[in-house]
Amino acid sequence: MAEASSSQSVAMQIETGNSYAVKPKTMRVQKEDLDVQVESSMDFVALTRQGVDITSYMLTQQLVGYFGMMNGHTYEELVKDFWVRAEVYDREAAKMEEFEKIEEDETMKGKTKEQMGLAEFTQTESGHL
Amino acid sequence: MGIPITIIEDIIKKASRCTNEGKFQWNIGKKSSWKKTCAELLHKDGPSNNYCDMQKEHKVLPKLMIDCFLQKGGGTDTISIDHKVFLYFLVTFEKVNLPRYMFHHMIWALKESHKNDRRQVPYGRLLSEIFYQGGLISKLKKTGVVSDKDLGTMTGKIINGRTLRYMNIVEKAIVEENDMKKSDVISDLMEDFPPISKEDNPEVLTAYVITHFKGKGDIINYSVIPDTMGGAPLRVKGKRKSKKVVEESEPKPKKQKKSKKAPKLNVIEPSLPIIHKEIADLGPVEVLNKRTKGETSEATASQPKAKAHKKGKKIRKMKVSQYVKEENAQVEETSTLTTRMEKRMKVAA
Repeated sequence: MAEASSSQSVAMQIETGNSYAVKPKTMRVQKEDLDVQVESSMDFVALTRQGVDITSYMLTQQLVGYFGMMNGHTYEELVKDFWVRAEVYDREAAKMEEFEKIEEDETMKGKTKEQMGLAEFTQTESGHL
Repeated sequence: MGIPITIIEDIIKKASRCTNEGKFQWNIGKKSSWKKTCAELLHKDGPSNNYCDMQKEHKVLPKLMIDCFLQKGGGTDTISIDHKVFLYFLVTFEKVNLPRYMFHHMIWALKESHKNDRRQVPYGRLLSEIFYQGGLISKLKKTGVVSDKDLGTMTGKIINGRTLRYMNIVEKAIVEENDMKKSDVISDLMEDFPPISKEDNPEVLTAYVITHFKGKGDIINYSVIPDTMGGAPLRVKGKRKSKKVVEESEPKPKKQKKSKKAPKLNVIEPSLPIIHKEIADLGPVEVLNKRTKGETSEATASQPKAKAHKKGKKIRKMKVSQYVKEENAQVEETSTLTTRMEKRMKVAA
């Protein structure tokens, strides 16, 4: 996850040239048991016809692009594959990483994360390998 | 597949095409003053605002929230205070930081999956969009080995007049032809694909190829045209009936298939290309043989013992008879020789 934090504008790097290694699962739940919740599309025209005009609320939130995106396909299998292997890298995980490094090597104590060879914690991430 | 994906707030902002500005309130204490403010505006048992007295628009917003923004398991009745505050912002026309809300919710759901085996995976569409923007879908498309079935492609439900009817907000749903349909969904996989298949009428195919040639200047080769249009229409999330049908229909054909598999393979084999034939010879036959062996043993076990003996005897007879035939032929030959010799001896005498 350390290298991934440097590429913030791109979610994934496909053409790395390195061979891919399938990451093990991170949860007990079986892939088949997962229930992928798909966002619903909104038919604003039909709703307005019924006397329910929520367009103004959505315009305030600047969600025109968001609802345009909703009108697409969901790849359930890919999402499930991602979810069972996903892990959260947050402040807590970064701290744990630091402790583990110190446990491995006592001389690391007192050094900064950069000196330990770990990336500085910037923000919460989730991802899978 | 082993491709690293990193999702941060910025990625969600880009995928959802929203701005990450606005209000964000989470982990609000139960004693917070928010509770009273929200109750007044939204709660159905609130002192000044009953649910039935709420405006139609306000009734739809909770549904919209749990279906599109902060997906949860239950219905609109059990909304946490954090969700209520989110609704409060929506109703009062205050811009919310949607990417942050969504990212926060995603992280929460993932942690819940790790700790408490939560099964619901939120943001199926958003994650798919992230995969698409990252180039995964086009990469898979290039390999050409994936189909919509492999990817589990589906579309979401559509909130329209019918939904309002189910929610008892309106008495009758007005449906028009121009309403959004699930078939309006744009496919990421089939971008430049010709919308024809070999199943189409040859006249239609030639007409399409000619118009394509006139428009773009390319000639579509017959081999490029897909055999079928890719099977059944896409699934729509939330229709559970179809699942049951699949479950019920699946186990039945299994029993029938077992006995039919071996002869079926023979029928298909001649039409297969040579390489496929070799593969078919190597792999499946062994497996099938094993299965058929198992079947015969099962079948014989269920049958009375005498029959099994008969079968065995028959086979032995076949083997023995061949051998005996050869022997008999030899004996006959030698016997004819001896008779000839005897005849000659008699003639000479």
